[in-house]
Amino acid sequence: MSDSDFPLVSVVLPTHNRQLLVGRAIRSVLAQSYPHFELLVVNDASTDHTHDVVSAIVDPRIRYIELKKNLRAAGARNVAIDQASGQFLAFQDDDDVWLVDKLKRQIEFVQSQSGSPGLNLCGHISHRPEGTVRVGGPRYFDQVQPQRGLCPKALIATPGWLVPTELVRKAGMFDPRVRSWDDWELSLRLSEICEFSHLDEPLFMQDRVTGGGMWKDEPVYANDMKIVLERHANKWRDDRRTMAYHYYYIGRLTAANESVTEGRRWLLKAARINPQSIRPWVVYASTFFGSGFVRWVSGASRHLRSWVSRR
Amino acid sequence: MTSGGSIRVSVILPTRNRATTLPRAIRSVLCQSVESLELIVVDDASVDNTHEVVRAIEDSRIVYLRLVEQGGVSAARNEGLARARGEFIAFQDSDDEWITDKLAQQLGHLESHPEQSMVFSKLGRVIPGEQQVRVKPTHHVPENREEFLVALMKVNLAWTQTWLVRADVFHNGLCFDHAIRRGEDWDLAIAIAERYSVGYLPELLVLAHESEDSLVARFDGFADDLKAMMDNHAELLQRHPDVKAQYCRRIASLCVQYGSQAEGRRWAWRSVKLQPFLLLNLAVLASAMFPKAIYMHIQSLKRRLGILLSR
Repeated sequence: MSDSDFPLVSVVLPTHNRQLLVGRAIRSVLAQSYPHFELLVVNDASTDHTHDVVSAIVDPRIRYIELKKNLRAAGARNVAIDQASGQFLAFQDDDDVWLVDKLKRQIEFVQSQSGSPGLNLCGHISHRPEGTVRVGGPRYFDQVQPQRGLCPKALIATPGWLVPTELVRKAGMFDPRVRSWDDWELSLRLSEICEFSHLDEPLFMQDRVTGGGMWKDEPVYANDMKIVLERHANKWRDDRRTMAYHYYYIGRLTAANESVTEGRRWLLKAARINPQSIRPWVVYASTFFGSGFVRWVSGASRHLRSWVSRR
Repeated sequence: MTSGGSIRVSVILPTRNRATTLPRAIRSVLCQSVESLELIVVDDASVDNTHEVVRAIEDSRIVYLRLVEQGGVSAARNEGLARARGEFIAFQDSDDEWITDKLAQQLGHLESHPEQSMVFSKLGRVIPGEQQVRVKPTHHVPENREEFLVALMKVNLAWTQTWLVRADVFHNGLCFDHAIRRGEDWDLAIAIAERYSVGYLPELLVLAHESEDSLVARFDGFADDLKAMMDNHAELLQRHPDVKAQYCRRIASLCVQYGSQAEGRRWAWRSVKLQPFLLLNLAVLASAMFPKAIYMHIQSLKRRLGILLSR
């Protein structure tokens, strides 16, 4: 078979101080049953032994890029995308494990579709201390339309992506200012120029049991959300509920972690465009008891919600 | 590997009429980060195109054996064991998928624990239509040897696909018991644990993709299997009358459901004699006195109560 049957895939793997895990992530890419790919490992200025771990893995398909300055995931991915020579891009994270047929299945799927390929998203298995679940199914993929707005489930992490390199470059690559939701932000821009397709099979595993906790940094989320609104507010111009929710979200996190006054401003904006929603008012009222109380209220409501959803 | 070099791991894969899922199972073995292995595919007289599917995968590490007459999974695995040349033995099933580092992590474990002859790990059962991935073992795995044996007698903790066993374990005639149709792997795990030290590496290394037909649980012959297991491990059960009583109880219950009421009563009586003060034994004996229909009714009530309590 010729190369055109097996388009070259550039796999982008940014890593920062994960010396114990990154080897497993790399090996699960090298083990892919798909025959034609390159793996760009970007060492994002790690201060541990990441360099030694990666250098110990000898494989002609690996290209190793070392950054002197820490650019964070989005910036590190962009460096690799600049150097990628593949027709398609796929992404791996340093704490995830790809299953052996991931690339094979996604390429087969994309090639079986008519029309030019867009962003393909696959399901995965999420292995967490509180339980292991398969993430996928029609309901899930129905929810993950990026335009639907913020909902923690609307984020398909980049390891589930397979996308033509040209589209990512055309969309302008990752926004390096966005620290945690860079995947959602870029998918919003991609949704303007291509179709999304879904492959409902678990093709990689997120291992939060061995991999440790997810990054839960609320100020970062609030900041990311502001950038998303700055770039994409027009997407929800006619959807005041979603827009109000975004304002509310920024307001709550800001009031809880940074500044109560600024938080109130966002909450008022939320209340102004969607006065029926009770949430901004509740949080607004709680700001008068200090940011600690705002944190307590949101924690309590989270517990209440998860309790209700378990019923 | 060439025939001159030594083989590190022999992987035994029994299969019957699974041509569609088999390639993934095979690829996940061949793509292991441990490359020095042989994969012995034992075709249990398949009537589909299993042979062609295996032949289409070009890898000199595959050994294809075909049983002329259907012998069952134990016979197939034993046939594989007889041909195995590796220092270590592992078992794969035709529906399952190994994580790339499965063998590497387990080999590392056995290298750092020279006193252990076998290690097993976690397995995730991916069931069609179910969001939850059932991670096995669900029960606690005790460190203490005798406690581990007792726990293993009570419930199968070590699923075959997660084993890695030193080959010399099988040199003294230990193998899968043909007489046991369901639980042959459980029986052998107990036999190995009685004679050797067994370790547990609590990492999720295997995904079992179950199909509708692999889910069909056949319990009709299970009472005979349990009786055979009682014979095989008589000495161990002598030391633990409570576990022996549990076996009698389960056999009694299976006999009432699928076999003869009178035999069920005999086994229930045995459990009462072993553990006269356990109410459960008396309850099983009492319910075995009722006609089968009433017994089934009691069982379903018990199940519903269990579901209710587990919520």
